[in-house]
This record gives sequence, structure tokens and C-alpha cells, in this order.
Amino acid sequence: MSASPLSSFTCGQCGASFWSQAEGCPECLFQLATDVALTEHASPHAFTVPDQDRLAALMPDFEILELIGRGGMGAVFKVRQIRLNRTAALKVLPPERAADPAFIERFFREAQALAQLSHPNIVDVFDMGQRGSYLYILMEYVDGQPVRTAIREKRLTASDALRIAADLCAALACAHARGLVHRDIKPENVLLKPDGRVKLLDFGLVKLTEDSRIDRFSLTEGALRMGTPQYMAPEQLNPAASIDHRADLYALGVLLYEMLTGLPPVLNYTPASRRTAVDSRIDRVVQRALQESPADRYQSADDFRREIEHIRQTPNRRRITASVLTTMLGLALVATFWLRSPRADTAPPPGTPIDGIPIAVVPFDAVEAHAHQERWARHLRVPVQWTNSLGMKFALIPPGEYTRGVPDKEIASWIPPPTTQPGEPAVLALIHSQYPAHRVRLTKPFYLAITETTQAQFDRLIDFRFGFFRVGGAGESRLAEPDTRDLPIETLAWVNADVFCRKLSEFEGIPSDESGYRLPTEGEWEFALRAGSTTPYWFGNDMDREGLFEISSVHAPIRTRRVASLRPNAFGLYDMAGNVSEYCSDWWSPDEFKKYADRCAVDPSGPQDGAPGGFQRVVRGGYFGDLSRQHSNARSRHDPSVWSNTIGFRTAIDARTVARLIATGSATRPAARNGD
Amino acid sequence: MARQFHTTSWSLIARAQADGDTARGATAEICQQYWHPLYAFARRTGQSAHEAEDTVQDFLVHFVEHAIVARADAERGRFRTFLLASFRQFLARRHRDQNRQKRSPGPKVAHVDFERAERLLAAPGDGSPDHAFERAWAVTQLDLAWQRLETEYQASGKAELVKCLRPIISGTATTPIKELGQQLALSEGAVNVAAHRMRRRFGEILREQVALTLISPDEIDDEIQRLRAALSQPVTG
Repeated sequence: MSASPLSSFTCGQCGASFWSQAEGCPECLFQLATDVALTEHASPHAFTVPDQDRLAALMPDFEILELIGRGGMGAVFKVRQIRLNRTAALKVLPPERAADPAFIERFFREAQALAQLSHPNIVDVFDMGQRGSYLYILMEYVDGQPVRTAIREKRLTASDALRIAADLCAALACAHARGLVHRDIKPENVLLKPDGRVKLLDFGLVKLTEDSRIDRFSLTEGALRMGTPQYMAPEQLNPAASIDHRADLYALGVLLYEMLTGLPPVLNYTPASRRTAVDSRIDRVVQRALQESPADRYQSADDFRREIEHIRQTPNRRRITASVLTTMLGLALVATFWLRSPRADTAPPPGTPIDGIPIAVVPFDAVEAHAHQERWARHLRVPVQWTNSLGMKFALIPPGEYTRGVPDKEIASWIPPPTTQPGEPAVLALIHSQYPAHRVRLTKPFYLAITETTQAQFDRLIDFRFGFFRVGGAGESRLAEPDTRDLPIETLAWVNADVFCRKLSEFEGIPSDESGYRLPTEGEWEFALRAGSTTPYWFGNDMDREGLFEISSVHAPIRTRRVASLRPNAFGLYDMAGNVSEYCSDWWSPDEFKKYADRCAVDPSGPQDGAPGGFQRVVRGGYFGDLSRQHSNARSRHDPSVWSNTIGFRTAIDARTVARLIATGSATRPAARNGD
Repeated sequence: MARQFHTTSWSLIARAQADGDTARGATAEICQQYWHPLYAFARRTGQSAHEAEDTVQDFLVHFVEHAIVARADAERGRFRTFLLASFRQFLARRHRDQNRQKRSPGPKVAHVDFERAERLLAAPGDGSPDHAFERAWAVTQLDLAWQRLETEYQASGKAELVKCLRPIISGTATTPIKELGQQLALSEGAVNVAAHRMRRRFGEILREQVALTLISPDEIDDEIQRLRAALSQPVTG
């Protein structure tokens, strides 16, 4: 096979040279793919846009001018309504919608409600109907750009942001008064007109297109259905909760913060006034809107608007300056402190007891591990192993200290061989995130589930069947047996695991002001995994080739196994380094350990927010089919809104909460709620 | 439609591991989609055309059979990276195991254009296997986008239109628009409008096509730039 003589081509459009005539000029063609993103959000779930000629035939009263947007919920065309000679926007829903009679019924019911909605900040709906296999909505045509574009291009001032938020509040107040909830407020759905006014799009569409909220989690092909969870109120992530207008106010809080700072707020977000020069009173407004419980938020869009208007009308320069000054002063103080003490280590000397009780300083063996657990159990008046009302078993993990991370000179030799791909930057970055070694001190005793959360446990509280390895799941053909109740739950996003923890707290009647069930921090997780060991793996120096601890056999089929089917570690915990990887509560940052280069990490809980690590969460431990991640140092991370069939979780809870539950008898009460 | 396009690379692999016709269809699609970049890589590591053909064939069979999708996790976010990493491991193992049993040949990969692959290999570049892989990957993405665009246009009876306009959009046109208009019985303005729409649709399809190989949609613009760069490597040789 010999190469043909080579000649290059010159692009007739951009003049670039290229080598293959078959595909054409890569400069021009890839540019087309980039341009698309600037005008609309192309989505892998978008349905095939109906052919314009066919559409024109179906809708003779419209002249189809151009396609102006498309997404999972339909395509939007700019049209001219011939009889009225007016320009309008025509949204055409995917044809499968029109095949569902229940959907059609809801569609027309919703149409009547929407038709009554008229507000200068809401896109007017002119008409809704059905032509052939398409349901359509005829709307006011708005000459504007999504607010998303303005945020991306950093064109919004703080005063723009406040005005937009106030206008949206007015729009929402009008809709809410008619019992309409938007449910999908986000920068893509707010159009900014050249005169600076905004129009809210797609009212009621989400409700319409979601038979149930389960739809949102639908793990169909593509797996990214829940595209923008950051705008969803916590109750929207909870399939069992009811949703009302306060979900919109939450989303508006997210939008306001994002318009001010350019970034959506995430757990433990930095107040807006510390990110940008904005009145610090805004922080309280955002904070109130973002309250987890709807009862703690603004109760109406009018209340929300009044506070915004108050701030707009009483500008307060002093507050801005004061806030900036405070930050500068803080920095100055930190700098002074840092200069004065080169070792900014405020932790007590290694091994200092807590409450007069010795703590578990690694290394220790299995006998000592148990002695530590017993000692702390006596001290707290709790058992070493405790079972909650759902039948989940937990082990008491005592306070302790250990060395985390890898010293620089060792890092090369600790690289787990099978994943080493020279030139694979992502893998190398993970390895370097393990540097440097540092002391970690955990001061709070806690309980950690001895197994990963199983499908049976998860199903009790969450009414949606997550999971790849289960009957009806995508991995059904790989199952060893149809009974999968004791397999770990997987193929769920971090946010779903987080919701489960909250629901479990509710289930056991733990009040929201008490520390309830949660994911373990990364610091806790590794201490629990090691259980006193300093070897590369908790079970020794070598990978588990005999299949005693974390894999059932080197040649085992690539799938999950029943929890607790192999040996536990010295704390009595099963499958820590195998079966499925596990979510931790921490945000990911590749540089997290570097903060502790010269000091001890006391109860570390990760970065303040997700920005440094690209808004990902820490994942620890290995999974079926990958020996290398059993390594006690191995760290990983994952997007919190995306699932993987290799990741599950186990729950933790503070020992003092368990002590209280036991003392008041509330956790031993038979689980009467939730059906069974 | 013969091809199912709205499928991520990951779920395509998952389907290939099922049983029956779906699996065979998916396997064939995988071979078609990923054959070229792997071949380019193998050739640049010093294999002869025949060796490379065998290696890629063996690898793809192994790749589909061994449930590698189970390892689909975060670090391997880009399917391209993941595929290449798996291929490297495969090559390393093959190299170690010199006396391996020659496996019975699997089903032949259909519709493979060796000549074109060789021609692309001969184009100037930095000569590294990685670059050869990326460049072939980028070409494959463009190919798939073209195939899909053509299928769409054909389905609505516009096969002729896409055939005539393709050179304009890909920058290889030699026929003036006016002449094309005569061929298509359209005015010059109408040809321009049609070309505008086709450009836009091609952009959408290409973007989707690339998105299907990623886990996070945020990476898409970065990935597009990278593919573009792989193909417009400055002439060095």
C-alpha cells in the first residue's frame, strides 16, 4: 500500500491550506461548530429539526423565516404571521409529544392558563395548537440575547443585575398569583433586549414536559438530562418533595448571584460582595433566596422584589467600601501573621488526647483499633457498632491522626502502574494532587456505614430506580443473579447521594439544626480506610491479587458484588477500597494538600468552594475491574451532577447525634413511615 | 435511517456488549468510527500497513469484548483519550507477549479506506503517533458529520442539493455559484440561502458529534479547538 502523491488544497473561503479534500477545510468547518454555540445551545438531546418545507406545508398561515433555536424541548423558528403581518416566534415540540394523549390534554390545559398571563417581562403566548404530528406554541418574537451571553461576556454591571432581578420578581409575582410556577429559571431562559429590559421565556414548559420529576433524572442515552442542577432548588432534586413558587425564588437567587459575580453559587459560596464591588446588603438577599428549606426563603416574589428595590433606591457606598476594606484588612492581618510565624501550625502537638481520652494515632494494629473504638464508645455511651432504623450498620470511628499524601521523592514510585500513561495529563494531575505528605488530625468521633449504601437501602427512601447493575438497568446483561438488593447503589450523581443523606435524616426525625446523615469528608474517609495501616493498601504492600479483600478475583467479571462479601478492615468496614468508588463531601481541588505543606490539617473539609477544581467532588477508593485505585493514597474526582456506574457512596453521621438518638430512643423506633 | 447518530460513544460501546443484532450493528459502527485514528497511531509507532491493520482489528474486537466501558470514569472523560490509553496498553501487552497465539481473524472491518489513511499519514506533521492519532480523529469527526448531514438531506429528498453545495461549504469549490444554481435550477440568492442553512446545520451536527465523545459538555469548545489545531498543524516536513 503506497501513499499517493500528496498535494495540498487552498480553502476558497479562508485561504488556509489543508491536506484532504474529502472532508474539506478544517478551519472553516470547525469554526462552524464554534459559531453554533454562540447563537444557541446545541444539545445532544435536541430532536431533529422539522424540515422547513414540511413545516411550511403544515402551517400555511405562517411564513417560516429562520430557525432561531433548538434544544431538547423543541425548535424555535422566527415566522411571519401572514394575515396579521406580524413577526412571531413559533416553538415546535418534538413529534413524540403529540403521540401521547395525556400530554396533549395537559398541553391544552396549560395553554389556557398561559394565555391569561400577560406581563411586560414575560414573553406573550399568542396561541398553542397542533398541526399534524407537531404541537406548537406561537409566541411574541423578542429581539434580544439570552442573559447567559451577557454574563459570559461580562457585560452586566451590579446595577443591571439588580434591575433584571427586580423585573423578574415582578414577572414571577404576576405568574405565581395565577398559580403558575416556571420551574426552570436560568440565564438561558431570560432574554435581554437592546433597551436593557428582560423577557422571561418558556413559562410552564418544564412542568408540561415533565410527566413526573423523575424525567429530570432520566438516565437515557447521553445521561446528561439534568443539565443545569445549579439552578434547581433542593426540593427539585428530591423526587418526593412537592414544588411550589418558592423554587422559582431559589433559582432567581442563583441567577442574581451569577449575574453579579459571573459564577453560580455553590455550597459554601463566597458572598457576592467579596467577589465584586457590590453593596454587602445583597449578600443577605442572596442568602435568604438560597435557603435550603422553602420556608426559610422569601415567601413571595413581591417580598424579594421589595428588598432589591430598597437596596437599589438607597445606594450605600460606605457599605461597599467597608466590605472591601474588611477584606483588605483581613489580608493584611493574615500577611502579618504569616510573616511572624513561618510555621503557621496551630494544631496541638501530635497525639494530644481529646477530653483526656487518647486518640488513635496511625500506625496501630487491629487489636489497638478495636481498643480505640471501645474506649470512645464507653466515653460517649454509644456502641462500637450501631444499627439505624433502616437496618444500616455503622462502626464508630475514633478521633485520630495520620499522615496523608505522598512525599515528593516517592511520588514516582507510588504511581499505580496500570493507569500510568505518560502524557496523560489528567492522570498525572491526580497523582500530583497526592503531594505533599502532611499530618491530619480528626477531633470528632463519627460513625461510618460499614458497607456502601445498597440498592435496597437506597430504594427505601428514593422513589427512583438508580443503578446500572440491576434488573431493568443498562447493565442487566452482566448481572450474576437477578437479586441485586445487596449490591451497592451506583450510577447516581453526587447530588443524589446528598439528597439521600438528607432524606435519611428526615426519616429518622433528626431536626435540621442538628448534624444529621452526610457523606464523609475525604479526611475522615481515608482515616477510616487505613484503620491504622501505613502500607500502600490497607491490607498490605501488594495489590489484592488473591482476591481476599477488595476484589473477588483478578479475573472476576467486571461488575459490582454483594456488599460485605470479602474481609473487613480493622475498624470493621467492608469494601472501602473496592466494589465501587465512593463520593466524599469535599469539593475537589488538585492543590488541596499543598495548603498543608507546613501545617497539620485539623478536621479538613476541603476547599471552600468548587471553583479551584472545576466544580467537582472528591471520589475515593477503587472499583471493580481497577486494581490500581485500591491504593490508600489514590484520589479522584467527579462532576457532581453526572453519574458513573463505578461510583457509589456510604453515609456518615456524627457520634454525638447518634448518642442523642440512642438516649431519646428515636433511632430504635420501628420505621413506620414510608409504607413498609 | 440506517444509522443511529444520537448516541454517545460510551453508550455505543454499551450496546455493542449486548446480544444480537443491535450489538453487531454497534460493533460495526465502532469499528468504522475509531478504526482510522488507531490505524494512524499504529503506523506511526513503526508498524507496517499490514501489521497495523491486524493490530487495530484485534484491538477493536478486544475493546468491545472486554467490557472496557465499565472503566468509564472521570479521568477518562474524553473518549478520544480513553480509547488511545486503552490502545497503548493493548500495544504494550502485545509487545511483551511476542509468542502470542495468532488469534483467529475476527470479522473484517468493512468500508475502510486504507489509501486515504495512508495519504493522511503522508501529510506533513510532527511525525509522532499522538499527532497522527489526533489528526485522524479530527478527520473522522468531520467525516461522521458529513455522513450525517448527507443522510438528513437525502431523507428529505435533497441529495442533489447537498452534493452540489458540499464543495462550497468545505472550501473546495471550483464551480461558481451561478453555475451551481443552473444545475439545481435555483437563483443565485436561493443557492446562497441554502448554503447558509447547510453551514449552520453542519455546525450543529459537528458540535453534537464532538459532544458525544465527551462527558462534560463544558469541554466542547476546548475539544473543537484542539481538533482544529490537530488538522492545521503548521507544515514542518
